Amino acid sequence: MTSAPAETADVELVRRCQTGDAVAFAQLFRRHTGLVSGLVHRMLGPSPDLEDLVQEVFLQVIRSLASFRDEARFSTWLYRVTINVVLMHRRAQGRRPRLVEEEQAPPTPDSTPLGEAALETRLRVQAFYRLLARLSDKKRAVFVLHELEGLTPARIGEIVGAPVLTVRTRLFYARRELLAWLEEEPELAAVAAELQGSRPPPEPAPALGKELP
Amino acid sequence: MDARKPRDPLAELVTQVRADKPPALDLPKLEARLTAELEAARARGELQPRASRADAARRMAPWLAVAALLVLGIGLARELTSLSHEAAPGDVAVAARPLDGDALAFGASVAAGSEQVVRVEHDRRAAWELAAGSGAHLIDAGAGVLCVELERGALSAVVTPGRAESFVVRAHGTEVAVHGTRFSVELEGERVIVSVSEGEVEVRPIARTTRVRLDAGMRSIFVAGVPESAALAAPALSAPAPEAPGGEPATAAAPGPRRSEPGSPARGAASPSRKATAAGAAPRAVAATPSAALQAEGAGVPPVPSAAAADGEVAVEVADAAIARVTEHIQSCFRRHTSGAGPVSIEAATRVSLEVQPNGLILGVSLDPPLAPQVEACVASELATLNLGASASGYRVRREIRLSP
Repeated sequence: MTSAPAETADVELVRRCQTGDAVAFAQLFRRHTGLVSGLVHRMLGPSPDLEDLVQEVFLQVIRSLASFRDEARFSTWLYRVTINVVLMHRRAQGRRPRLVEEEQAPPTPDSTPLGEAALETRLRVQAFYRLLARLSDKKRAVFVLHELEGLTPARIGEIVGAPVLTVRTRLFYARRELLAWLEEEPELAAVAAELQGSRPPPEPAPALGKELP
Repeated sequence: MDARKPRDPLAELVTQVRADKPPALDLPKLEARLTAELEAARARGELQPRASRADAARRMAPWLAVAALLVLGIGLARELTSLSHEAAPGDVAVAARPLDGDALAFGASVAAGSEQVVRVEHDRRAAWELAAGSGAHLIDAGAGVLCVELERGALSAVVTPGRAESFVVRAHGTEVAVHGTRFSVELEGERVIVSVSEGEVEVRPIARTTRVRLDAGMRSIFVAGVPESAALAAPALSAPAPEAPGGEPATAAAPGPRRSEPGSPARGAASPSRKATAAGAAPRAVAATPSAALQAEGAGVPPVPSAAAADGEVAVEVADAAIARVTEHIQSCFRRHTSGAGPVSIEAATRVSLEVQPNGLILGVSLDPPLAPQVEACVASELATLNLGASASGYRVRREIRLSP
């Protein structure tokens, strides 16, 4: 999360970018590449398209510089652009012809030798990304932004353009679905078994507003 | 940690996922590309906030603004009308100089006379040509996308590689989104014929989600964005594509990053975006099925207009029997040329589209998505001599089939 001085600096850099200042853009790019690549990676999981998508995000930033308003935080705007780019990519990917067997192919393990514990962790992480991919776009976005990026529901609401209560509702259902799917991933069976033995108390569902996830 | 409070396994998983970092990127390369794009956007005047542009416009004297618009309109009209004076009678003439596409406002129409070809260039982005008697207009598709709607006739285009879907052509409910390529779009009544000579395009119904990807060497016909058939064409196109902007022919290799293909399919499995190669296809198949999906590459058979395909009606039993016989051969080829690794069992689903001539021979067959090249080569060979029985006027049939080991 960026601080107020950092946001001020971002706004100034954006203003300079709007005049075509390449140095300002380079600073903006270097400052936020980590945020963008991390978010893309967490929204999509390991993907060969990571670099393409990071580039696409910043291309969208360039194309939309003219419409950026100072009153919006740049980081908020950047989060929004990144999520939109990822969601568009997923929709485009989902519509390419796929083979039945491609859906069922197991992940290819890295050739780098790993210790047993590290390998187990990697497989669990990959399995978790598979579960994340099953969430709807809206639920996945709020889950990633809250659980993995550490943003507050209020901030997430600004990014995705939804009321805080809606964000919390989507989070609730996202967690519930993920917990229900744990047992379907062999790498997460131990986690699921642990869940059976020590199930946390059920969270009260937030009062539903007009909009459902 | 409070021992009375149950642990949250999901939280522990999240902790592990948080620690998972993305792979390193080639930042200098990315930065260089983006800086170049920033410069291009600045040159196009796209960076300034709209409020700033509005302020500048308000500062201009109104009569100067009107005069500027009048000059532009007169200049454009002269540009278009002068073409007819330059064309020799009976010959198709190319405009003395191309139109500056970046100077055209959204909604502007461009029309080529009956004996003219009009070329429109958008600096460093794309160049498109209207065939004689054709017409198109520019549309504001937002997000920096250049969109041309073909109203009549044919259009061919060369688009600078690098930015996916920076150039879109629409025609009769079909949208062709360009991914750095040479391609042409032709209207025949309600049919939209898309041919790709380099690169790839995505074709889809406007404002809908289904889409078909065409690679270099492919030609397909669409009605309202939905494929009428997915036939692979002979390599030669009916109209040569224009030169790329700047006078240099666009190359198939894109300087920008390329979208990664889906992960490599299992050995012997189908490959959605590859052309079928049929080195062993029977000559009779090539001669008898010039628009067939499974055609020998480089055979040089000119494409046959799709209007020549059979278009009659036939009893359901006849169509079912035809599909059943064809499926047997496809299944046989699939089993012979597909093998999974270890315990992996490979299945495939595809849509078979058949065009059968009145004499029972197969005029064309297409598989969507395509199967692996060796499977398609086998199918082409087996179907070349298959006779499905005579009918009054031939027929066309389409079915989804599943193939198993």
